[in-house]
Amino acid sequence: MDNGACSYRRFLDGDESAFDEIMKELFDGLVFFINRYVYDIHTAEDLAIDVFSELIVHRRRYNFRVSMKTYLFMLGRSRALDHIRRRKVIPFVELSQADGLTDERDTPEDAFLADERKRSVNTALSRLPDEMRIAVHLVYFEEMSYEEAARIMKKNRKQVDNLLYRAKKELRILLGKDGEWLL
Amino acid sequence: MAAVRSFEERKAEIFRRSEEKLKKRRRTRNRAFACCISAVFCAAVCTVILLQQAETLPDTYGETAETSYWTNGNAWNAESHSATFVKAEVLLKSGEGEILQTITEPDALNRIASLLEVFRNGTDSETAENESTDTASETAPGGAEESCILTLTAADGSTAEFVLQDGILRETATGREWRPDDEQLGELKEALRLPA
Repeated sequence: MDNGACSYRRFLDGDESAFDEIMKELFDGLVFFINRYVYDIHTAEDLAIDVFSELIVHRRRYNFRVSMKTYLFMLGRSRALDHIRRRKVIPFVELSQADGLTDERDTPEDAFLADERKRSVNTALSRLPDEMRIAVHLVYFEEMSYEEAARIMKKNRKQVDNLLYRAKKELRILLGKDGEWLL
Repeated sequence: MAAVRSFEERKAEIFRRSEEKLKKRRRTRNRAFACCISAVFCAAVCTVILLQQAETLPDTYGETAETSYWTNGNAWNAESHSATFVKAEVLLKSGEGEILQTITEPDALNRIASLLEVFRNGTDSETAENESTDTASETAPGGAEESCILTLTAADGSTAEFVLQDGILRETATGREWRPDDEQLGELKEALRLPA
């Protein structure tokens, strides 16, 4: 699985439909990932659109050394952090209030969190420190390797390993028995 | 609360933004290119103007303020008798003391300039100590030496100094010497208003 690299090559060669494939495969995951930083699904979507427009504007920047998914997530992380820096204040929405704000159309989160277990883990994740949360999201929700997660977070493999170890300890406390499947 | 976009809406927004960014990039590149062209053009024009001005300037490269006006053709225009000197100071030293006189009349200055130009166009003399003493000596009857220091001042304040002693005219800055003949010496003394 090359996570979109092949499709991107076809897009560079002039096949516009290949871009649709990349979007369908990776857009929702990217939005969900960015949302881990910004806590606002619409902002996350907006930033994800920016990231994808970079693929069109700077076509030769992606050098195929990493997977397309890793590359997009790296860009997404960078955009999210810039957004947070510019915004300075992270709006915090209580989870109990957030539950009532959904509309009829499924958000990307809804698709990801259809599984009840994943929902409870997601709730617990929001209580973790940022970097632990991101590491868990990349490895367990996006099924990335430790190396890919490290590259996206600009850390080394050992650091990601430590983050996940500490995250699991925290989740054990937060989830109790329900969280054992993850651990 | 606004709903999330559909797939088509997202795709349209992605392409719209990428078009905007590409247009902005093209505009920035064109603006930078135009600035470069203008800068190069201005630099070329300034260079041409400076080169033209440099060609019309007097050739004083490498010369200091003490360099003789003899070598400055533009400052010394003997043919048109238009001396650029504005003052000539003549200090006569003799056994009786010193007499200083200042000459500022243009005609007198032109005359001095013409005479000095004649010497300039001639050959330098040998050093005076090797010469025989058959020329008229300037030694006063009392045995004291008489000498005359001529200081020429140009309009820009720079000066040229000459010493006339024992019938030899020497330029202080360069050390060049001339031995005018009797007639030339007489004319020079007359121009400098020295006693014959």
